[in-house]
Amino acid sequence: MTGNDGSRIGVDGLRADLIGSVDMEGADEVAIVKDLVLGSASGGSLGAGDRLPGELDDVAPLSALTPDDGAGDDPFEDNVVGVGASADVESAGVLGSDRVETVDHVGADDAGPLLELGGGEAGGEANAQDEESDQVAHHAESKKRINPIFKWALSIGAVAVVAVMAFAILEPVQVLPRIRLAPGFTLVDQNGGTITSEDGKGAVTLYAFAPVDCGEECDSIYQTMREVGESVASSVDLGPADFRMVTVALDSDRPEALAAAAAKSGADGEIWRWAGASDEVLRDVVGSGFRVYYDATQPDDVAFDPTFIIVDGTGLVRGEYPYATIASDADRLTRHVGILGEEILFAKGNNALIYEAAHIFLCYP
Amino acid sequence: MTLDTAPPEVDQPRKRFRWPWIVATAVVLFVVGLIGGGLFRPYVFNGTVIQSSTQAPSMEGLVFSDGQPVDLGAFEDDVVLIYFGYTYCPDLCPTMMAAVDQATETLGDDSSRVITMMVTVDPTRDTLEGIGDYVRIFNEDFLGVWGTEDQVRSVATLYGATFEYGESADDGSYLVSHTASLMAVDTEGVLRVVYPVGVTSDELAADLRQLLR
Repeated sequence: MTGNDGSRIGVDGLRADLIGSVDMEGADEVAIVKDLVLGSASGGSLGAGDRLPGELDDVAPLSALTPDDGAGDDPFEDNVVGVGASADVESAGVLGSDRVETVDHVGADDAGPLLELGGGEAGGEANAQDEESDQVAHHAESKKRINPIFKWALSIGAVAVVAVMAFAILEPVQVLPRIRLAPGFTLVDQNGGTITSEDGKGAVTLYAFAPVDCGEECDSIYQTMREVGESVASSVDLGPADFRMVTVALDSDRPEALAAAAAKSGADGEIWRWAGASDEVLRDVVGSGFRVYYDATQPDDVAFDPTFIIVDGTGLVRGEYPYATIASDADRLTRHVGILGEEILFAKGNNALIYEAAHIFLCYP
Repeated sequence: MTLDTAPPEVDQPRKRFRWPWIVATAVVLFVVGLIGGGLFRPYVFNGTVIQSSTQAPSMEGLVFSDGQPVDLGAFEDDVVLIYFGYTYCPDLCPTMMAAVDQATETLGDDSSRVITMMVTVDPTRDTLEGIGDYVRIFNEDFLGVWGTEDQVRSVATLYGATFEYGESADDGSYLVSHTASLMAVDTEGVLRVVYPVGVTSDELAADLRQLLR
């Protein structure tokens, strides 16, 4: 127990283990009394906010230990003012002041002994334990002083951070990155017609690059194209968008050469077409536009990086695959076309916000 | 008198069900979620957004109708709208130019920070002065851009645009099939949004405000 000046006041005669704390650091401080057990023959309890009946007079000496702040004559005012007696009572009622936060369990049985304050033999022990319980009470008090608004803000902020992190980590929605604009072009196809970048608007297009007279080194490219074409047709839903494939010839714009390459690779001329252009156009389209390395200065030995590129229906490059990986290229390309298909199907209305968030949080496969 | 008997067992206080707090917490979270969602929701552009932060392709070789070379770097802190069209264009070009004009008109003082230029894809018929005169029909501040066919085609390729000339009619007229998208370069010089045919002036205005922030 402390007085207004913070100095301790002895509580001789009180069983220390019966006293949680009676802490009063000035009139504004909170008094906390724990497990102060008062005897009651009937074993009954006092309700919250009840005035102490009968024994109240006996409790009066306790008030003698409470410093008077001069605020009033009532010894309970400002200081020890609440006595919760019932096990049902969580927080004590107020007797004479609103400054009491907790006063627990005032039984009746031990009232007599407790009221004999001033006995010396238990005083030292009581002081030690009283100090300890003071600290506990002070700690509890500090916790209770946290601004509720701050606690709310902290909780909401924590929830928001957890939600954002969960979205970024768990990636409930995956998207392909919107890398850059695919080049605009007008190329000659294997049938002698033209194929333009505008033809691909509204469709998902897989581009590959190879010379028309490519040998065995291009077999894996052709094999991948065939597998992707079959698996997308059988297992991917692109909604209203079509799927098409274009192999850009790096060394010819002659329809006959393109047709021969198409026959060799298995391109059907509808979903999968071959296309070519003059060297000047190819430099702009393939080199600058698709950013694919190739060197066709030696007609019989065209050097190039085997590359696959996925372009969406708006003309954006959504996937670049400049080198082979251990994983099957066909499986990976099919999966990524499927992700694009889901975006086409579901990124509408409010769902578009979720997909925008997925782009912002880089939820890429 | 001292107390030498152990205190009687006292039942622990019964925990109260704190449903009012749970309900209050849920309500507050819901309201904060609504407000936060409204304040921090990602802006959804009315065109296709490009996430790359690489600079817009150079327009080297092309000139404005006054003969000055086109240098996008000169428009730092401005939003640049680029359109590939031609003066004989019957429908798409005037529709898009009119939409851009209406959109910029709603921006007030910020309209001066929006640079609109139309690159002719028909340099044979569109003269240097002709393309300038054409765009100024829609707005005095619009800029006409001219280059040879090869120069224009090279630049257009990098902007995802292409064009083809149709067969000539008896009177020598012909149509040009061309990409009719409108490209927006943001204040950082990055090609940021591509608008399809049909974008409205209101949609453009909203996006321009966002790009000008």
